[in-house]
Amino acid sequence: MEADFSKVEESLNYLMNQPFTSGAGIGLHGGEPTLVPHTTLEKYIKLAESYNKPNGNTTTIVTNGSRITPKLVKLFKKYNMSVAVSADGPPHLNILRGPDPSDEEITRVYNKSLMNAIKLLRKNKIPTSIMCVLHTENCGNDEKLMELTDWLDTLAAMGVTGGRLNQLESNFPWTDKYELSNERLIEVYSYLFEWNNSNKLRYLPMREWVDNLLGYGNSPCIYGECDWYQTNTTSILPDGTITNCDRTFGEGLHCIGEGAKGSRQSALLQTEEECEGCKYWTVCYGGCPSEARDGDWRNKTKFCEMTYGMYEFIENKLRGLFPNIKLKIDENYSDPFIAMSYAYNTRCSSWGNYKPRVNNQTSNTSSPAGIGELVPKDQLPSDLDPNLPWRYAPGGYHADQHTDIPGGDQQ
Amino acid sequence: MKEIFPFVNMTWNTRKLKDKWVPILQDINHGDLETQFEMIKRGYRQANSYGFTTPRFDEEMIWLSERGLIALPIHRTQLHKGYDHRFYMKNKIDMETYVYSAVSDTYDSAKQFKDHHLLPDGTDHKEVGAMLGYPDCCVEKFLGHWPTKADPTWDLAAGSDGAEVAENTVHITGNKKLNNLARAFGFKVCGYYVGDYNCPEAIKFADKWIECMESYVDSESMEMLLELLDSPMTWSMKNGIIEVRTEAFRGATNGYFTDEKKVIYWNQP
Repeated sequence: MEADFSKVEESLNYLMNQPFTSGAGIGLHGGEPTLVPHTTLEKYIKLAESYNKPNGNTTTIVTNGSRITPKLVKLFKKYNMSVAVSADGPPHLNILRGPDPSDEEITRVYNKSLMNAIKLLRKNKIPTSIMCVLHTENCGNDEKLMELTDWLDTLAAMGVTGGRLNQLESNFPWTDKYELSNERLIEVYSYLFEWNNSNKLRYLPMREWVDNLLGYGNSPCIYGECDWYQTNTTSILPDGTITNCDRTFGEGLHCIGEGAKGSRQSALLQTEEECEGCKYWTVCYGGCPSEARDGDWRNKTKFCEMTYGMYEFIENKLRGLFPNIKLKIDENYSDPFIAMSYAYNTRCSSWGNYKPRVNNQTSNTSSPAGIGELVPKDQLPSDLDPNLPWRYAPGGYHADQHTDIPGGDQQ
Repeated sequence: MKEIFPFVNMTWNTRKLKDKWVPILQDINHGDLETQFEMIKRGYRQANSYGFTTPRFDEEMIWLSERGLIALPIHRTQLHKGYDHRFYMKNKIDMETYVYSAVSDTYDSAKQFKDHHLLPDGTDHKEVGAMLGYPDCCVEKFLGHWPTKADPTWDLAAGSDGAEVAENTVHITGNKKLNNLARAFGFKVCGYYVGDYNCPEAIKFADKWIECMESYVDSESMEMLLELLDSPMTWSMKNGIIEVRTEAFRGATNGYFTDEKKVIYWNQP
């Protein structure tokens, strides 16, 4: 495929003027984007920046780190870029990447250059993150997992405090042996969740799972009702072709589809062995179609047990900390922290054990209702809003505004 | 009831294929619409159905009138893309209304076609099939599966002459003129549910269809269509969704829910 900058520019301009891309960030992905000549790379960076800057987004580049030179670092600095380096752990765990993972010496040299690249980036204060894939070789057992997090701790000391820790999704028979089971993934992610929190790190997807439950917009794209023919993520190929997420390329899909979206979600919701009745539907939607069971996008993700397990784990944590929290999975979800807010209570608390708002101005000596009972509208003092459900309390009335909070302790 | 609302979603395998096929498909689809009514004109069928859409109602009326056709409304239904396996009735006429109608060159035939749809116990599919010109054997086989199986494609393939069936998978070498696997995406000759993918009576009907279609479709488009319909295809149905994979495109459309995934390998070793 021949690269055509003007067509890429044209496609990007078209996409960025679509309503669905409003505020979207543009990143440079590969293959390996640093393989293109320096001047060409700068042209693309400049183009991305022209859209990112007005939206307040940083231009990112995802790289394998093997070609990070001082000249390139200068370029990243010039455009205030952030760099995501693909690495699966310290050298002895990062053995599935590099030019030839089957050659120990080549892999050793690659790992050395990778660590030097990260050091160089940080020395120059380039915001750097790690794109790590979790597999049997870096967290197949607890010892490896500790070594992985120790390495990430070392990076944190250098200022690399976030990134992505995604599970390996095997698309080929020869990589199946490296994929972690759902059970192991729950163990790994539960540990990583605690590690992330206690070290105040920002690794994903652990932070995203919390945000999803809080209802702050599902992220990443795999939880966003993705359609296999018209994916949430859009790619621009070097020849300017606008196409789907790169996860579809391996399936031979190289064009964006046309037609109605959403059939997969409709199907999953109606199928018992898929997602019918699932508590976490609204924060998952069946997951990524490319990760679907049996390689069929019409099924739910093969990582369902892990996703469910992690949402359950985090839900319990959140409800333990904030017993009256409203999560996206709850009925009548609104602001997750409403039961704890000043807008709602006269005295706030983390558990939502509020003291109902009392109208102290009204001093009515007669008793229009029993203590705690609803006061009939026609017997309310004229200064009270008749649309609220006022209850009688000695010395005043309180508006019972929070009865929709399950488990709300109304003292 | 578990069901997927009628939909069509398709994607071309490459941009080159898209550029090549889009004008051809437009030609085929235009020709197909004309053929549905040309078949009446030439006496190969008595009537046909037509769905009026609110936004294009006036243009559609003119289009039918210009061809000397009479339309009688049967049902007001929800506007949809692709094939519906039942009528999604609605009372209100709005921009999302689809008026399913009987069309013929005489009032009597249109009325007859309409009446066959409005019997106290529903539609008389045998009579409707006969008025559409479908061979009796195809109608019989279709009714052997429908409506329990809302889209009986797999069962009809499994019951076809020469089909090799292994559990939920069918391998079939069928006649290209009867290939209706990709009909939802506009790739078809007559496209109806044939009782057997090698049925001689169905082939005769398809030949009449091609005879009419050739008056409207460019010969190169026709040739390419038949070539595609003869090439390997995979049809599968899972969780109520049908997916068809061909050398040029793949598409998804509504099917019905089955316990197991059903697969048809068309013209594949």
